[in-house]
Amino acid sequence: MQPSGYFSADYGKDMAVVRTRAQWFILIAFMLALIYFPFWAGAGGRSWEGVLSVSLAIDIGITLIAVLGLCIVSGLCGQINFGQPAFMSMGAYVSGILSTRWDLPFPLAIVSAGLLAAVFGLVFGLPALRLKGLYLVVATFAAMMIVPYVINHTKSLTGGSDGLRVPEASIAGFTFDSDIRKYFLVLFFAVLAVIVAKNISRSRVGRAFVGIRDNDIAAAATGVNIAHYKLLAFFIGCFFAGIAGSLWAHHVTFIHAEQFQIWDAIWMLGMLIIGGWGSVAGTVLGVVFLKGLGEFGTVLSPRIAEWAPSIPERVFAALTSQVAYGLAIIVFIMLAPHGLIYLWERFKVYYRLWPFSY
Amino acid sequence: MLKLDNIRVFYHEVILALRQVSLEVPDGSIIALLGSNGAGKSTALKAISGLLITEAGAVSEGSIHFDGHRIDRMEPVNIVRLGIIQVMEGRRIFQHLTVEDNLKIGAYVRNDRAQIKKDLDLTYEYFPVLKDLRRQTAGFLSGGEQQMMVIGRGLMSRPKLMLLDEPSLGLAPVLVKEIFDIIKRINAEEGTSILLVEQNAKIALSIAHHGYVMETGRVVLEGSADMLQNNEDVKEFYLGLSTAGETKSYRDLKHYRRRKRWMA
Amino acid sequence: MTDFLQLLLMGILVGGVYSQIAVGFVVIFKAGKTFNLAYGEMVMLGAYISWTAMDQWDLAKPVALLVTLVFAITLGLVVERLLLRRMTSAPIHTMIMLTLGLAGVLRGLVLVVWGPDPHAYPDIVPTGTVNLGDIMLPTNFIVSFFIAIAFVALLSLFFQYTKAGLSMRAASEDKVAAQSLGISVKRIYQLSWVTASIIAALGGILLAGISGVNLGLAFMGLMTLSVVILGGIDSILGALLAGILMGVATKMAEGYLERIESLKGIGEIFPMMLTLVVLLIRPHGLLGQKTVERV
Repeated sequence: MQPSGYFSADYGKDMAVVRTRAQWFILIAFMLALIYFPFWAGAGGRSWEGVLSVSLAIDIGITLIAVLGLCIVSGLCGQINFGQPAFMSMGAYVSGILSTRWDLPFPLAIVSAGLLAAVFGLVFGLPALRLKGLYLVVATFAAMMIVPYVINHTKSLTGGSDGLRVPEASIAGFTFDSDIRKYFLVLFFAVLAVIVAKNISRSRVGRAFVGIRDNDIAAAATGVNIAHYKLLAFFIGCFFAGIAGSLWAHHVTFIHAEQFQIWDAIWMLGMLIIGGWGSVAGTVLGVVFLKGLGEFGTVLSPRIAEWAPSIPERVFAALTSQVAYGLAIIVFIMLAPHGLIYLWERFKVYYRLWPFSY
Repeated sequence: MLKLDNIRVFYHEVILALRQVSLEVPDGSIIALLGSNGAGKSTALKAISGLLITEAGAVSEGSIHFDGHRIDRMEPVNIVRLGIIQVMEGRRIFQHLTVEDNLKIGAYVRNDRAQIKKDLDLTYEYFPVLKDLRRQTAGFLSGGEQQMMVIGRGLMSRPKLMLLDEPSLGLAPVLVKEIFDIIKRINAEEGTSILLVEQNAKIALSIAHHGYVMETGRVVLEGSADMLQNNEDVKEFYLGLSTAGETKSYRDLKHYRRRKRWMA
Repeated sequence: MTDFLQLLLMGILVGGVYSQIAVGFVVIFKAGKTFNLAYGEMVMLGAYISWTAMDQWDLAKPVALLVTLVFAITLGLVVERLLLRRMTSAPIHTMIMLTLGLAGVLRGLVLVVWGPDPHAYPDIVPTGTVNLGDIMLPTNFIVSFFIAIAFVALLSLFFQYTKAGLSMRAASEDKVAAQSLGISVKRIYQLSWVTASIIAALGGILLAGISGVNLGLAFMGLMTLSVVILGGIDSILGALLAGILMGVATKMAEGYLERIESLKGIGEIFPMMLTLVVLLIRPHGLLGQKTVERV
């Protein structure tokens, strides 16, 4: 649904992402807000016990990059990938190893992290050429089992179960050593990732992906080279994961195979679904929303514990960690099976047509 | 006897598919329901069999009665129990089951084992091909055999009324002829009433007693099969016959007006 | 050689139980093309409930079994009614997330009610060992194996020859056509969830009899997934075969590969790796139906 009074007079306008002056205004205001955010939040963060902190924003940004990659493989191309954290850990380790052992500068390290993770993703994407549905889920799931195992068993290279120390990112002598500096580094990559993902989704390649997702046989019949595009989707998606992993490594400066859990894979898919399957804006929404919710939960749970001390600690831990998250997922899927972005679109249609509903 | 009284059907509560449709299927008769694509024929069948709910459709006005029961709000399961079976369009077979298992599923609502056994034999008698193929996996059957199987499957429930949705779809003319002969026999020998939806108006009217013509969700014409076969409009629009030698043109206002009167 | 035979036989015995559990997963998938990633948690719950009934409430074993069954049936019905009924036509990723959410809830509840400590399971089958030459096989493994296999056999007879079984197979292929023939799809879903839930609970009891009651039983969910995918997701025979194969492979991996220092811990990921390799060769598992797709 187009804004009222807006008519696409030429092809360029029809393809435009930002259509009206009001939208430009909102976009610029939003970017300015993002830039101003770390100065506003400061070192301690704002609101309840500093929920809105710079480190949360960095976390969101890094996750967003990885989930955008997932959005391309799974959301757009329909190849459900349960191994995104594994590919992220690949990126983290490649970047870490290159910059510690070979002293490669950060820009080179992050690009090679992306590329190697992408190539590695191709290996696990190969089964996708033959597998569908739950079969593919299990195949990508295998990545989540195998990668940590390999990392822990190649001690000489990765440090094994001792983990690996990684230096902070630096470009031409400028070191990203404070949260605010890291924030802008991550912001740069996150914005880039959003732009790239959005442009892929509305390009020829994106349409091929959607074709494969919705009906691969029909897509093949119209001349889409399925093998090529499926592998391309895995390549791009895992490239994103590699970049995110590299940023993560240089952000926390200590990496370990245990940091990339199966639970993260589930959570990432959850962000896609809750945000809106296959929509870039929905992905952003989903990541921000779930990360925020999680952070809110961690801040809130000690408060509840104080308020009701009669609940035994282990019961409380189980309730807040597993039951609450499980319930959150279930409730969201039951209430908004098409994701938050769908609710937003419905609302937009509603107010554009108001008061005449059709 | 089945009676549709002024029914109106919506899909998703917005798409109006049928408006004020009334029709009757007397016991033991064959009724043909004709019309072009999108006229609402299949919708009418699904309204009767209750399968509308699988496509988010519902009868919003009017009523459907069958043998004294009001059925337009019933679950499909209970409608089948009353003796109405729909043979769906496009040969919906259970392709991984054997032919005999497919037929046995047809008798799902019945519990009289001995009679089911007899009916299985009866079905094989109507469709001798199926007997030879009884152990075959249904997916490997040809289109004609599959169509016979789904009609046989419908028969296995011992229906009082069979709703047949385009049994001729995608079949060679000679097979169509064979299947329609069998339908006629089933009607004559078992006394099963039949409501037949067809694109192939000619063959449908050849076995029907009475017919209805639908356009854009309404019944626009009804009459005995003979009457319909000889009706000029039906001839022209559905039988593809027109007065010989006359070239047709859109400038032919008479034709245009007649068509328009129907579509309105 | 003795070593090898010992591992082989133990693998087969454990694999039988894996098969039996995996069949429940297959049943749900066959009926409604839905699947349940909370299946391992349902296995675990069955074990915990039966343990509580026997050990805590001191009920007689048959009564305890009955209590477990009633609980399993209720759980199956509740889950089907609350979550899956509306999700039958949902895309695969939604179903994955939904059942994973359920898995989190169930696991959390087990933690809340029973805590993290493992418990010994009362002996429901005679203990001891059967000696075949140098090979020693624990009796409870053998009994569990035969119970499991008998159950699988019963189930496949059910699908082949009973009206309910046949209608479940029909509904799994074409819901609308099944409805047009008077099959209540709702009833079919309920039936499949109840069946699966019973299978899971029984599997939980058998497994607990072998390894005791602990949170690790939820690991069976992962194992089941590997087994089911290996065998072909809609094939009961495939699940049977794959379960035994997986049992043997895991035991062999633990017995031989783990001896090599650099391969420590491979037993845990071995099922997944095996499945991955088989999938690359046979994309529908060992015996899965190829889906015929038309556009």
